[in-house]
Formats: sequence, structure tokens, C-alpha cells
Amino acid sequence: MNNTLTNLLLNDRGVAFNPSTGDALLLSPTALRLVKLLQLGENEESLLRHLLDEYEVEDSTARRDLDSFLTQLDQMQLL
Amino acid sequence: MKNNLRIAVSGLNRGDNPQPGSGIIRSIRRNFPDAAIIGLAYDAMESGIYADGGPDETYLMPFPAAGIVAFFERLDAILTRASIDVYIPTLDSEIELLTHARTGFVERGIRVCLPDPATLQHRAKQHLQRLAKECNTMVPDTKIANDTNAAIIAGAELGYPLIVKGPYYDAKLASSETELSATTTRLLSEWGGPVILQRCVQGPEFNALGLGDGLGGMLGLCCIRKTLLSEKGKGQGGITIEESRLSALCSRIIRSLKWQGPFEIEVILDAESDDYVLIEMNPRFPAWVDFPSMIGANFPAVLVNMLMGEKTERLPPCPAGRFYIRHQTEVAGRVEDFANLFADVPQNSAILQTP
Repeated sequence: MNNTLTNLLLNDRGVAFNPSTGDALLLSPTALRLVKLLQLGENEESLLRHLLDEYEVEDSTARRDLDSFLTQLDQMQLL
Repeated sequence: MKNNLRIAVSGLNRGDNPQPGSGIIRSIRRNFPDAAIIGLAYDAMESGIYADGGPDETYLMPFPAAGIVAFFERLDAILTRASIDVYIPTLDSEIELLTHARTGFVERGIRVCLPDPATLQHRAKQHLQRLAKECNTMVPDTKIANDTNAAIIAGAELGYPLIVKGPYYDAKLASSETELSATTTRLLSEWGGPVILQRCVQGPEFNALGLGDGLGGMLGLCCIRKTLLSEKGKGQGGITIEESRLSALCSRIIRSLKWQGPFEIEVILDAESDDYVLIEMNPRFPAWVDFPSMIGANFPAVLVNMLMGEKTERLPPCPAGRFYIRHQTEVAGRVEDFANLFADVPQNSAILQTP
């Protein structure tokens, strides 16, 4: 994880603000939860466990959605 | 410090291309509610003259092109009616004129913050490459041209599209030789030479507003990313950021120049190289100067304190994530207000002559 993700300012409504670039993102509640977990230093497997524990979702669906989410973060140079 | 300061400010227009004066007045009133504000207007249609909370009194001035003698003749006439403790000039062409006449203000007991001519030239658009080299900062590939033919040759070397700028104001995108030729001809006729041609840099735009202490340090810095741009590329909105690389770039420039007074540094974050590229440095407050005042960093008030010899402390940093949006509205005037501006202007005055 890079500093950009660590430094993202989050609020409970899902607004994520990058104080270095001025970029702002609107995160879904699930994405907000995952970003908070990443900021705490959790890894990909841990994120998957949280998704399966906290949401009624099939394992394959959770894996697919998590991959997609992490790819988006990578494309935004947040990972 | 005396209670009833009398502070003169120019650049009162808040129309399509807003000037800094009205924002400066709002900021000053926040800290000095008893101050009297004297507007010095170069045009009777500057909207801020008629705005609520605008100057307590306003006087017309001759355009800077009329020269320094005309400026001080008019100022002396104004001083017979209204005293001035501090003057905050806000227009590039005005500062270019007044930098050569700083003693004229001292003789009249007016405190003003103006860079010396050499320092002002050092940061001028046409000398930006040299400044950037001294400060280990990137600038776009730049060429200078004093006529249209030279601009066309420079354009062929830089490649299209490119940005063409006048020496003080205005910047246009030219995508072809035809556009470059037309734009150069217009800029030279409006502003005089030279024109500055810059390679286009793609990426988000950032501005930094600050106040140099004259010793190489800063009394404050507010960095924003432009979030809304007008068709002319003017910032209509911005959001504060905290970015150590941008702050360091500003520090290097101000340290190199030993800049004293207000400034605005404009940069683009080059999307290809991820480097901040210096676009220009303005020797004055920008039009958005009142925004930092709203969030706790009142730059004009600190400038007034500095000029009045008061103890000045570094302004607090502006927290990231605060934004502004420019909000235009109408002001109502009366024909009598407009006519009164000309009441003390002699018939043969430079004010009544088109520059």
C-alpha cells in the first residue's frame, strides 16, 4: 500500500479526499469499509474474509468484486 | 497601530475576468473593521466600486500607460481630499510602472510593498526559464517573440498546440500557424511585446498564494488545485491541498528571489513526467485572495501589519479539503454615483483619454 491511500481523508458518507492532489472520490459503503481496512494495514485475504463475514455474498462473487475494486484502486494509483 | 487606518486598493472589477481588489477589501474589513478603504479605479465601470462593502470612497486614476508623472499628479490631487496610509496595488501593469517610483510613495508618507525592478523582471514570464533553472524547477519549453514572423518561426520549433501569452495578461491556445499569427498580432497590439510562446503541458493546474518576508522566507502559503475553469482558463473554483513537493517548489522560488510581499505561483502537474511545471509567478495577490481569509489565513491583513511595522507571525496552514466556488452577482449603481467619479477629474486629464 502506498502513502496516498494511507493519507486519504475519509468521512462517513463515503467521500474520500486526496489532500495531495485535490482529487475527491465518492465511495460506496462497501468500498469505504474496504479502504478503511486497507488503511489499517489489512491484506487482500483479510479483506475477503471481512466481505464474507459482513455481507451475504457468495465466495466467488466476493473474490470477483474485490479483484475489481483493487484493480480500480491500482488504476487510480492508490495502491 | 492607529485605529482608523486609511488603505487604498486598486483592481476593483469582479466581472468576467475578476481583479483582486474587492477580495482584498473584504479580507481587510475582516481584521480592520474601522479602516477606511479608498478605491483607486482605472475605469468607472469597475463593478467593485458599487458593491456593498466596497470602498468608502473611490477615485479614478489614469491608466498605467499614461506614465508615472500622470500617476503621481493624480495621486497628489487625491491626497488633497483623502489621506492614505497604505496602498495595495493589484494590477501587473500598474506594479510594473510603480516599481520604478517607490520613493514617490515614501515622500508622500504612503506605505506600499513593491518589488525592486530587477526582482520584478527576474520573475517575469519572459525570464521564467532562468528563474526556474536557479530554483531547480521545470518550465515548459518557451520561446520569446517580438513580432508575428518571429512567433511563427518559434511556433514551428515548439510544435502545436502551444500557449501564447502577452507580457502582462492574456493567454491563448494556438493549434495552428494561422491561429498563432492572429493571436500574436492581437496580443502585440493590445499589450505590446514580447509575446511568450510555451509548449502545452497537460495535467491538473495548481495555484499557490503567499506572502514573502523579503528575507527568503514566507509568512504564509495557501496551495489549491483549480477545480473549475472558465472558457478563458481562469480558475472559477479551487480546493486546498497539502502537498510537500509544491510547497517546497514555492519555497525555493521565494528564497531565490528574496521576495517581499504578495505573490501567486501557477503550476501544472505534468501528467507525463509527474513533475510540477512552473507556468508563471504573479507579483500580487490573486482574485481568490479572500478565500484563505475565510478559512483562517488572512494574507492582506498580514500585509497591512507588515507595512505598518507591526509584529507579524506566520499564518496558519490552510487545511486540505476546503474549497471555493466563484459566485457572480449583480451590483446596483446610480448614474449619480458614476458621474461623481468624474467630479474631481480635470477636463484635460489623462483619465479621460483612452490609452
